[in-house]
Amino acid sequence: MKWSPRIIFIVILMLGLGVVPLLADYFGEPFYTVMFSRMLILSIGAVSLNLILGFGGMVSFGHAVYLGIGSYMVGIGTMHAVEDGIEWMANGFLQIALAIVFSALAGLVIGAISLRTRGVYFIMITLAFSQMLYYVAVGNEKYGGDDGLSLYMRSDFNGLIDISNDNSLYYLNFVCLLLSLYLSHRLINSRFGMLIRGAKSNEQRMRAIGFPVFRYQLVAFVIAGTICGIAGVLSANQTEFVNPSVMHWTHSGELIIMTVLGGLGTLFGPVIGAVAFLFLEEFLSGITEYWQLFFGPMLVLVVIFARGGIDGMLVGLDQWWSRNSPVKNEEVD
Amino acid sequence: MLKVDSLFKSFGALLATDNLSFQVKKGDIHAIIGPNGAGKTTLIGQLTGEIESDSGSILFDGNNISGVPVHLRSAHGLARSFQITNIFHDLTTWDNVALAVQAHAGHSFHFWKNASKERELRQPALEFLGIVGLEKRAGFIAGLLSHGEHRQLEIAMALATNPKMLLLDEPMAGMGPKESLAMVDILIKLKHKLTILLIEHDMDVVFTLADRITVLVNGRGIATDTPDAIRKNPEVIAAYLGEESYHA
Ligand SMILES: Nc1ncnc2c1ncn2[C@@H]1O[C@H](COP(=O)(O)OP(=O)(O)O)[C@@H](O)[C@H]1O
Ligand SMILES: [Mg+2]
Repeated sequence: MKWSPRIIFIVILMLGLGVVPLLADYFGEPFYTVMFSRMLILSIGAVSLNLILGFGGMVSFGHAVYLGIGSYMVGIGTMHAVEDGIEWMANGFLQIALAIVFSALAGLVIGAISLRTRGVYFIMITLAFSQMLYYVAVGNEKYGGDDGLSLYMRSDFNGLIDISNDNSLYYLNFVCLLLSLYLSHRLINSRFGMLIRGAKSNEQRMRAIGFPVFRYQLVAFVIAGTICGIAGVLSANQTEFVNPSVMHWTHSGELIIMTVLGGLGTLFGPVIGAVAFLFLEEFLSGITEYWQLFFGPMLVLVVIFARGGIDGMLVGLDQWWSRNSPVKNEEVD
Repeated sequence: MLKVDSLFKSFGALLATDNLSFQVKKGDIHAIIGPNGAGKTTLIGQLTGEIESDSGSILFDGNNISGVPVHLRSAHGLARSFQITNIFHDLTTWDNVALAVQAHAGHSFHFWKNASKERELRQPALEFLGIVGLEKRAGFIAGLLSHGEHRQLEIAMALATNPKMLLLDEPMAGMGPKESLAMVDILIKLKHKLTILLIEHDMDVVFTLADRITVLVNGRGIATDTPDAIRKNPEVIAAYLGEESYHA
């Protein structure tokens, strides 16, 4: 690995994320642990979305639905554990397993239908499915309906990890983010990943050289949904509250914005995007209640002037850096 | 190798392929010539399955492939290049060909191993780049290559799918004279190794390379014969070659 401004930035970002709870405790500001915990969870969501959106060119406008599925696995399980005394339903491993199964199933159904279309139709169908599940959750009075469910306890990991403590939950989130990054890294460089990227670049050509594109895109769609479902489990534990709005289309839109802001189709882009997004939201909303008036145009500017998002800007900085660095590698063609 | 029988395709009122029948012998370079809009590109699309025929049959290597989906026709051994450059612009030249190798190296549900380090994909890809003279461009982003190199890359990708038959849609379109010569050399290298269906406007090239020629006018095949016979065929001269020499 060659050191460059971009690599240094990413390393500092990841190391920084690794020590947030320590710093927050030291300065007596535990609020920051919670805020960054949220960043980590949404980073996982954005990393998973990036697999299909950034690398695969599939603009899914319903990705938050999996956050919802994962969240409700925790909400429903915990509710039965607390109200009906069915303790095993609060088991975190079980909740994660169920989140994986149901997210994969949802991804399979949504993908099987939406991937038969392209462009705006694809966007609309993924959007329609997520809104459908949103309204299912709103209408389901047994599990809180519109108001959602408050969690009276966090998931129980058989005493292996005690996430009732915000710091340990933070590190669970952090480890999950690292795992999702490593998984993405392996996936996008494998044969499967080459195929998915090829189909984004030129689908007609992929068919002509003999790839049955649909089945691979469907698998990618399912994998992305499943990872996001796990983020949903973490999210419910973080907020200790589940309600239908996690699945709302605006939330799916935010995931897209984070991914685009950070940089589509790069490994760390979504993490940078999620952190930047939540930072700006926090910072601007502290200054003025009309913060969205400033936030919107800022995003538009970044997208217009920095194609490739923030990570794209860093790549540009690297190129500028290597042109102007004192030691020039004389490369001969 | 290829037998096309009573093929039809209409776009609304326009008959793009009109009761077309011809045969291509194994190992031949078989040229399709005809004026613009004659239906040559449409024919290739019908052969690869990208365009659905209205009726008629396509027999390829003993199999009836009418109605077979695109990716399976490729698996049968049909490969095409496109009239308009059709490559993976944002991948490297090497990646482009490696993907084509991968397409025929079994399924691609390999999620873990780094594909760009797999010798069984990279090595053959480099060899195909060598055949078309692009090995020096292997590491370049494909979108940055010249037009002529794009066409060469198209051929390398088609070859990498290990086809029995190549369908080339105007591989020299838009090339300078030097690049065209390089392409002719490539085709000479490939001649007899596999069967080639060649669509080409440059009559010198066609008469140099082709074993047989089919002349297409308004979707109809007006003649299929050897180059010498085609040159003398009065109907062809009237419909196409004559017109061409007027413009020349
Ligand atoms: N998708 C399409 N829809 C409607 N008309 C088409 C389509 N593709 C081709 N055509 C028409 O079919 C005719 C044959 O086109 P084409 O096969 O591209 O000719 P050639 O390659 O011989 O120049 C042309 O008149 C063209 O306008
Ligand atoms: Mg044409």
